[in-house]
Amino acid sequence: MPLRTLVSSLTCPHCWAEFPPVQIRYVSEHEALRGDPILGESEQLRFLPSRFDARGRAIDPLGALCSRMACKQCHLELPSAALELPQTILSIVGAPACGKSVMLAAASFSLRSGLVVDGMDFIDADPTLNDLTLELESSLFRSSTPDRPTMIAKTDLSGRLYRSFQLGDSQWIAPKPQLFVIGRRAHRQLLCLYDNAGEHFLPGRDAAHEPVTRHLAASRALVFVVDPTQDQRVIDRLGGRDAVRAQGGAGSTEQRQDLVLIEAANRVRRLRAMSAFDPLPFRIVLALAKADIWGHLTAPEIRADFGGAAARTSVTVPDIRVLSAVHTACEGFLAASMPELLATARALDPKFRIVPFSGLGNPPSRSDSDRGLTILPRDVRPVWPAAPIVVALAEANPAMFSEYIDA
Amino acid sequence: MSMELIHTSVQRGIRGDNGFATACATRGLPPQLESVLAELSSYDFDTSRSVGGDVVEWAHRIVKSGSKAHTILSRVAPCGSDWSGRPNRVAHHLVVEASERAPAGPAWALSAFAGFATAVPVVEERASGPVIPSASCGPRRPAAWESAGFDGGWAGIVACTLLDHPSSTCFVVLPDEMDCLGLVSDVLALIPEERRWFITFSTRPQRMPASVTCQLRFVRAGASGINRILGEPGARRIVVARGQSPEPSAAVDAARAGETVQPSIQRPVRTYVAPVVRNTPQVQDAPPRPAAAPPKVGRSMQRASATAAGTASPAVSMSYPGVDSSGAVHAAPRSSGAPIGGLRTDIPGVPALAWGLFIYSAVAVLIAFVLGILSLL
Repeated sequence: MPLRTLVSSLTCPHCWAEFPPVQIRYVSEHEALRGDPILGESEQLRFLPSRFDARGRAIDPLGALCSRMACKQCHLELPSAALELPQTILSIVGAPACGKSVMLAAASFSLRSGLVVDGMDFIDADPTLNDLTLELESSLFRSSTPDRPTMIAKTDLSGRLYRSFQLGDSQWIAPKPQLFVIGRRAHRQLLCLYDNAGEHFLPGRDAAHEPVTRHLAASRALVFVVDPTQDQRVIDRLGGRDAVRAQGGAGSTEQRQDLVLIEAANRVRRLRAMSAFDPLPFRIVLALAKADIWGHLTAPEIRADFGGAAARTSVTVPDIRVLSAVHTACEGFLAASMPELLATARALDPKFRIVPFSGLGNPPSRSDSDRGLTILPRDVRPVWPAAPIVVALAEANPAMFSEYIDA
Repeated sequence: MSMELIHTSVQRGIRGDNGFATACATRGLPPQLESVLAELSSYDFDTSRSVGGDVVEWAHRIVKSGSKAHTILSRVAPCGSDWSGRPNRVAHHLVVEASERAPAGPAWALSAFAGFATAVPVVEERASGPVIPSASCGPRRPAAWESAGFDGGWAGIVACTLLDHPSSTCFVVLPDEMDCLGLVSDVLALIPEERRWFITFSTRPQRMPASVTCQLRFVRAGASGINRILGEPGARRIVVARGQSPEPSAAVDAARAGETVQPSIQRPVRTYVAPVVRNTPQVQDAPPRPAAAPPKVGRSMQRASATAAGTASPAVSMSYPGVDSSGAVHAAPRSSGAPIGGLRTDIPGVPALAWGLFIYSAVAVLIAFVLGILSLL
């Protein structure tokens, strides 16, 4: 029987409960064991195994061999890699319609290609658990109808993106994590990402029975997605609201994005019982979305071949020299157009990083009938889509991506 | 009075938030109920992923919020693009009071209510709720089923299943997406009026919170993941196909003839009779029965025996509090009270068999004890 080295403690990516591997539950396989006291009648029973076969597989109470595992507290399924690999949770935060889902889809799709970072492996920990990301990818990047206009739907506040479970007398709702195994050099990690609706990060939306943003308590880096086209000053520089909307920008200024960042930082401090004066326990990465629309406003202009260092492809993360130059250019852009956001980020984390990206690469078109945004899948050419995530990973695991740490 | 809530993507909702938010609500809507209704507002745009039998979700659900159960009528449907250019949906929920339930049933109320929001409404808090239409309708031929190409008998099968298994989820598997509200209306028309509001349904079911009841769910054959949903333990599944007739039954005949469908399963005769622990007027008028010989038991048992002593009269049997008002047939009361080993055995909650076992085991222990002493000597 092959030996497996287990982690000393694992954190459930669904409910963020910490427990040793010995307490992990198994998912029963026998059909007669339908119904779980925590997950409901439609799920198989979860149990703490006491019988194993010669190969170490658990045997359920009715004698069936079991291989799937679940959390001790919420009973939601965990990939077996969670037992063996250290986990890195990245929180992707942003206001509604800032481009979180597009970034997640574009980043995961490009990371699979192996072209993003040299020598980096990126595979699904369990494809059945990552159905959300796979669906997002297939609608934009793997479409079977590349000439049919499409667009990712707005992330809903409930429904299939969330799982519910019963804890005590109350019903809890948790976001579905997207789990990937990343490897580089001698290091392997379990990467955990969430696609929250932007509404969940708005001030006052953190409900006790809906702990959908509680991953902030366990995350090791915060990627704050900013949509500059939601700021009136940027809109003015781009020629007005109609011009921005025609290029696929949001063109709405109702939401102050700096307040969302403050709210996220406050939740981190609250969930980790930190003082208001304590520095945040992780790096903030400002991911400036939709760079194809506003990129020409920076000085120098941001392009895929920024700084004259043409990358192999537009999805490849540029080297640290280019990233630093881009950071400086974007800092100047934010100082001129969104100074309060820049000041907030600097106050929360003086060493914050700025990384621009474009999830689609080309502006989507707006239909005349219902003003809906669509793009042909064959026109999607993301630029640096995974760069914010790679930079955040580098900050969380410097040994893994040492070349992306600014000395 | 009724209340309503409209949940959609707006730039600024009535609570000041943007994105998916409450765009419209009746003043006084409980916040706890508002959060459950917001949770019921999701819509899956991906046709390859959704399992629903209709593009529009028409639903009648019972939502438990706090200590109260609310009757909710809902319509959730796509409504073009929102302010950010992405596909939007609008969910309109009506909270219906008991006095506003139309005898014609929830499906009729959904089809008759003309005020459902089909686009993003003006953001406002409304002072009063909408007026829920009311009417009654008798049984009729299932015209919607027949016009969809199905045998009308299927409506009878569905109605009969709902009546026979009120606590089971019932999936109706349709061959493709269609207007399901007409199908539900036809089914409910075949059900007795007093039962119609007990039937909860959804034409495009999604994951539902545990506090929500939804019995009848219309799904589409061939949808991804449908087998897992249909495999829910205890769920009833009715696969409907064009050109196929259901097995002959009374429900099928009733549906084809446009008559009320009766449940095919008779409720089991209730044999349990709750014991009476208080005297009734008949008992008080009756002469007291002589008490049994005082047993050598504790004081509490004597008190219980004395209480029960005068209640074993057959005249009392029909006034037992366990008899329900539904006219269910009850068995004659058990003639308990016969003394076993000198003890009265009609103490509430202690059956005669248990008493017998207790006495015989006590005697056995005593004999064993005596034998043990003798063997020691």
